[in-house]
Amino acid sequence: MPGAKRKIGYEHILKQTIREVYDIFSNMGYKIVEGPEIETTWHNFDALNTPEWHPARDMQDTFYIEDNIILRTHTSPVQVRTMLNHKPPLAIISPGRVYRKDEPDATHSPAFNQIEGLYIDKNVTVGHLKATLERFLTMYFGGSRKVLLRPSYFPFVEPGYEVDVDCMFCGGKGCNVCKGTGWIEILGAGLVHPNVLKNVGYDPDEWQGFAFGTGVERIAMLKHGIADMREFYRNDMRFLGL
Amino acid sequence: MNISRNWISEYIDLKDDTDNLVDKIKLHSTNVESVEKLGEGIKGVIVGRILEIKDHPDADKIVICKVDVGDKTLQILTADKSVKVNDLIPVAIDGAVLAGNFKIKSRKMRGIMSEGMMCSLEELGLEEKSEYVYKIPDDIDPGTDFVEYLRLKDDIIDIEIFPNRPDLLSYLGVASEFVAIDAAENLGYPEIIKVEKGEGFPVYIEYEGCKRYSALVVEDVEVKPSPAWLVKKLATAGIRSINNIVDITNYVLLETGHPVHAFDMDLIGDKIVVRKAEKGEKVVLLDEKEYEMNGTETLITDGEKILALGGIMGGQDSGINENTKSVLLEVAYFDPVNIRKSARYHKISSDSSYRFERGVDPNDAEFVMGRLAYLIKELANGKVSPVMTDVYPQYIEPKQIFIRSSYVNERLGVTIKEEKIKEILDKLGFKSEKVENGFKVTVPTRRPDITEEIDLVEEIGRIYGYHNIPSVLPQNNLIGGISDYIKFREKVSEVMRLNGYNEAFTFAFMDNSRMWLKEGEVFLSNPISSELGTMRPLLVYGF
Repeated sequence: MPGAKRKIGYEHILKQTIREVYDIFSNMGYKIVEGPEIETTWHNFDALNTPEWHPARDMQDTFYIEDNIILRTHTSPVQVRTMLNHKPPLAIISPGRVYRKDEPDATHSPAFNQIEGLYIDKNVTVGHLKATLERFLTMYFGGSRKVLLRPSYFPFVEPGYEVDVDCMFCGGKGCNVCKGTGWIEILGAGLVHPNVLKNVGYDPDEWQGFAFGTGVERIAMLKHGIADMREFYRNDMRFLGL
Repeated sequence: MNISRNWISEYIDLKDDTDNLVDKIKLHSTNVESVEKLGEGIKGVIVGRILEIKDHPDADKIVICKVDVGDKTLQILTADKSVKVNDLIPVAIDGAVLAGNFKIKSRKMRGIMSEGMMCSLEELGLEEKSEYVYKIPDDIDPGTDFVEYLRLKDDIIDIEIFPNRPDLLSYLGVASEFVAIDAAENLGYPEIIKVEKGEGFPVYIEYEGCKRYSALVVEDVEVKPSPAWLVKKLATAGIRSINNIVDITNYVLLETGHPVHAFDMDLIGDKIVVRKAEKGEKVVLLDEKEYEMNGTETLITDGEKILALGGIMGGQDSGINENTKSVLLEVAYFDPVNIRKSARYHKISSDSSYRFERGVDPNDAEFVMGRLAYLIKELANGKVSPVMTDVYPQYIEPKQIFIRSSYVNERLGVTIKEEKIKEILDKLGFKSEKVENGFKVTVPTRRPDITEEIDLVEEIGRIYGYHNIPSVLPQNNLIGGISDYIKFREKVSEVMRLNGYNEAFTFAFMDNSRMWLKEGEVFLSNPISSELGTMRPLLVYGF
């Protein structure tokens, strides 16, 4: 008689993606850390060099519960909490849900997932950031990936970058996915701002670091060819079986 | 911020075509959101002078005009009955192509032939929606090619302005930046009238929300429509033309990045008093809305009436109108946080408040006022007073920052020679003095975003080019790992899946009325909708 057949359930693609990213960084010595989704404005903004009257607070539309209690807009506050409880050097990855007051459409959702990284040591350089991101993107997307760092701004890093990866579909020649440019914008990154280090009690003359972040949905959509972000939350059984 | 290639070429010589320019901007300055080709495909529009207007016998909304287009006279019908004899208007002749690939042919309107069409700014691609045919105020001959005259064919580059680059909110700021990133050369400043500082119109500052206030009187002005070149320039910035004086204030804001204001002197008292608002005070602003003060705002008054909400918007009762004969010009500098708080509280965002919030140069009043005076004299025939009042109680010093050459190289991960660092600082317009181990840099006040050593590292790094930095993996002895809690959670998930369960992802906020087991206690004060307004206390609600 044939053995009893068992149906196996599937891991949600967002969990799968986070696990893949985590495995890549674990090999580089990173630990995974998690934190609360309901945060204080101090951990989410002030500690990250975004004081109350700073125009940068406009860059992310925030859900408020009370004046100083919000739904976190990025997973960076987890890094703040970790730094407050640990001495450097450290390398951490913080995945998790984040919330922004955006109208839902194919590329926006009021709740989505981010994965951010932080590396603190002595004499950390932009060159280190570049190589780390290139290794991550090469291992996640395959091939041999190159990055382009373009000037941008986030209050908690200086210099700040938008990071493009060379298009993994056309190798940089230009196609539909990269809109003919050969590059796809994929990450935000930068060297940790000295004010952030001071806020968590580190001496910026002794310790420096870099930070980077990306949307989990974003990289999953690129890798698996998913066109609409809302699929991740619809939980259609056919999608879950991907 | 939209940058018109034609306009910015008036201050610098661009070295590249637009595509290469955009690449350089993205590599060294900021993100480029889009490039619009203005006037693409538009042709066949010439200047015409209306000689005669007659009513249409069968349609009372249409008039029949005889229009002189230089080498001949055309019969053109229009539904815009505001046209008058002797008006100069743009005429699209048979075969013309307008904005949106709209083709023009001679055709009958209610039985009578129209040999072309009179154009509004909308048909030229300069306005979203126009109500009237454009009346050209410039003195040009009928038959002139209007597309050529307006320099309508233009590339409009939309550059993204991050909070740390307020200097890019102006044409002169962007022009300096293009020179710094080696995309242009020969920066030239526009013409001004040099004004002396002294005992001009009385000004008193009584509140630290305003750090500097300069005032200049211009008499005998002629308020009239702006010339077409100014209308076109404002249109590329999405600003509608009102009249020459108002347009000049908007033009100077775009050109210099410094917001300015103009008052009708017959509608204000004999002095300017800048003071703190009192709670409950009300004023009607130029948007025709009434605002009640909370007691922290900076008000421009004449000692009796409120004239404007400083740095944000002018009052309705003191603004320029078609009867204005004398103008008081204001070039002021306000505290960025005060402006931001007031603008947020009253929910106003103007081109003026946007710039003051981010940081404007406090030390360019002489240049900005001189530019304003020059333009008003040129376009409105005013008599410019030789003396400008300048109340500036506390001079804002340019920042001096000591930068270590080793620090720059250590942060970036390259070796940039000191001569090259100096070269880059020169290109940026930062005065630098070589000292031991580095440079003493004097940062101009037009770059309020640069306050410490690390900011200069970014400036040097971006001009040097981040693509020139080699990738080097960091060496460390760190060991990765996950906490026992996460290990446990992963194990639970694995066991569930092996038993046939699929993992689903659901939102944490939901409708309070669907909580059948335990009520929610944590509510969002600004949810996206009431159905997503309560944080779920239990995961089971995900189903």
